[in-house]
Amino acid sequence: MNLVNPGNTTAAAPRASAAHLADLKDVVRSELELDTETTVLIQQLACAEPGCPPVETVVAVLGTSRRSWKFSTPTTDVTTAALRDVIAKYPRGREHDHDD
Amino acid sequence: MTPTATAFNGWAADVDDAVAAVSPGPDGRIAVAGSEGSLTLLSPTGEVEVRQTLSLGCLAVAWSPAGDRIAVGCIDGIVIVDGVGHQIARHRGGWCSSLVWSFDGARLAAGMGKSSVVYGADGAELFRHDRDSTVTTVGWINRRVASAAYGGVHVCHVSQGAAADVLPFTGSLLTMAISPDRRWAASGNQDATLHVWRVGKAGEELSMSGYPTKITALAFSPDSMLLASGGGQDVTVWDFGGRGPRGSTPRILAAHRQSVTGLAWSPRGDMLAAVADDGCVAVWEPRAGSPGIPLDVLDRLDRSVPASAVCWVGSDRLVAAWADGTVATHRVG
Amino acid sequence: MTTTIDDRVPVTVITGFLGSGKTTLVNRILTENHGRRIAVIENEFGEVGIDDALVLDAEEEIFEMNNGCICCTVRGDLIRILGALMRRRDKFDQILIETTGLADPAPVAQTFFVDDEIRDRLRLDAIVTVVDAAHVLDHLNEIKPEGVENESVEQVAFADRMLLNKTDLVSEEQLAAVENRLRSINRGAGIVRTQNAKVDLAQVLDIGAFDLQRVLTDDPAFLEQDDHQHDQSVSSVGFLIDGDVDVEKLNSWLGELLASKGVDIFRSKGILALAGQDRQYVFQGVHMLFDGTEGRPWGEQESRTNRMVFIGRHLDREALEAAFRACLVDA
Repeated sequence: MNLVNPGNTTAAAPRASAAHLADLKDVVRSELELDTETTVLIQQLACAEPGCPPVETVVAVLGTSRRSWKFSTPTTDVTTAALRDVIAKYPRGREHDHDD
Repeated sequence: MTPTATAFNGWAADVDDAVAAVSPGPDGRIAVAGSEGSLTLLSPTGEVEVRQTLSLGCLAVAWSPAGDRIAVGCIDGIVIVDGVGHQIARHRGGWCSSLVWSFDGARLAAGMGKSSVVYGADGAELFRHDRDSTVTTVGWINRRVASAAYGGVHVCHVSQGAAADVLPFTGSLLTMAISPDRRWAASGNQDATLHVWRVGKAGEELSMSGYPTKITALAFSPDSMLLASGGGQDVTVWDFGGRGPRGSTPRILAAHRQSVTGLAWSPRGDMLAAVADDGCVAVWEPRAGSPGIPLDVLDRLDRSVPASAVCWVGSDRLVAAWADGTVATHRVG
Repeated sequence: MTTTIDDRVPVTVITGFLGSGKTTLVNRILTENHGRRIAVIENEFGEVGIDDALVLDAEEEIFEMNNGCICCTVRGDLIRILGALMRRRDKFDQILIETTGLADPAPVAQTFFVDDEIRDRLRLDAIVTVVDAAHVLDHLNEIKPEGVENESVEQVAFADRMLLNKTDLVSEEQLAAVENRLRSINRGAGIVRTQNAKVDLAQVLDIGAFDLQRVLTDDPAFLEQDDHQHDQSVSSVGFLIDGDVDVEKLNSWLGELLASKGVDIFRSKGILALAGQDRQYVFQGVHMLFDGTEGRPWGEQESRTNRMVFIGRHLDREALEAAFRACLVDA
């Protein structure tokens, strides 16, 4: 399941390992004390539109109220520490990762 | 000059399922149904808003024109959810590969096994018409519902006990299209023929043969003037202006190396997109072509896994999907 | 000689009367599958019950198809369902199709000849018929009204392999009688005796019965003339005839034969020596549908012997043999 990078040169952004994805999801579940029914999703998005970062990672909690946090990096570059920080600071979610 | 193969210029997302169908919703949101049973709702920027596993396999998805309902057809029934994925209704017991909402989103026509069924937006069954074999496609002709199955197209008023108008064809109808002006009905068949009826006028049937293989994709242009058909590597476009296509030479749209499996006209009807297992999503301006002379693409996206679905989300922006779960947007031209 | 690896998904059709043990066989295949990914399409709802296997229900839908001048029937439901299965990302190692005991196997087999999408991705490996040793003779002997087929005879005639099941309930003599009877209808289909449908899966899966490269190589003995001609309408006729075949005459004869008698010919298979050709010509047929291709080259010391078998109704051995001989180059 390769995400193709828009543009004509580079190969697809490397996919994060299953272990890394599981670690990140664990962080979300523990920080937010979620039950096992709630879906946690980690999505790597490639975007070629002007103004978009070429690759970004969306960490989302799906449920009655959807919450998400975005990082302008591939998923492999999102550390558990960074994710924990962001969730602690913005428990309701955060749309972009530069400081406003 | 043939444009070289380009990658898409919008966003790309991964829905973790082989995409079976896509349907545009309000404000650029997109519903994606997967062959392994998933439903994913994407935001206008490609983020997953909702993801659910609904069945062992999904075949079709249709976002209501009213924006508040999404219907998903599965191998074992139908599921209706609201705009945030909460289940409104579920009906088990039949193969559902075709779903069409009425123009106001109040009613949903669906194939359900060997029946064509009409549901209200709340999921209540309002009407059912039985066929002898599995319904492959449904459609609306004003307030009547049309269903295609082996043996022909049946057109019924949505009231119990109503007799069906039969548009007969002895054979297996795999797909059906009704022209937006409701004058014509067409079927793509297992025996590699296209059959055409004039709605409400018996005795004006046409049969087009010579297709390399069975026809599984058909689409009328929004102005009802053109009918695009699959059934081979080339898309064959028949002109329905005036007296219809009888005796005419069709336009030929060339690009694919394998049989075309899906077709979608742009909202203004100036462009047509097609997908095939060779991974290519091709876009042409059919009216720029001349009958009988293969027309080259206006734009194309090429990947190495089967391209399985395409729809338009604006006058020049399309959403394409592939069997590896990739869903991407692309502004054409 | 180039060998193309056929990576299409193999499909095994399992047929047999209710109670013959075919569902037990399907369940055995699923439990003993050792990590192979198997999908099952069953006709008798709810019988197959193994977790982890993908099991779909199908109601048989027989569609008549006109393929040019050939009319045949296909299983429309299988075209639809197999198409959907092949769109998934998980690749199946094997697909099993369980048909009802009342089914005519011809439409299933014909489906694999006729639909391009299916031919591209799937190959029919074999038709396996499970037979109840204690009751099959009664079924075979049942007198049906005029024009009505005896399905059990058809299922035996179409088999590539038969499992003679419930052997524990029947004496050795009866078993021999049953086997004789089965062979008189269908010589060439191997018979495996089983109890409780317990069998080495290699006998049932990946047999390559429709593989044109493997046609007739497994059991040449069946082509011998049968001395015990039963007076029955369905039988097997096989030939071993030396000599080169004139292709034009062959086409003319086969074309006419299948068009006029195709309804009565259930299966046909053959390896032919065509005049002027180094390679064998191998063919398979179901009723009027016919599929042939070049096989391997004839060996240096190998005699160019034509082998073929027809299984069907009211077959006239002498007439078929004479008509074939008339196709030889030095006829």
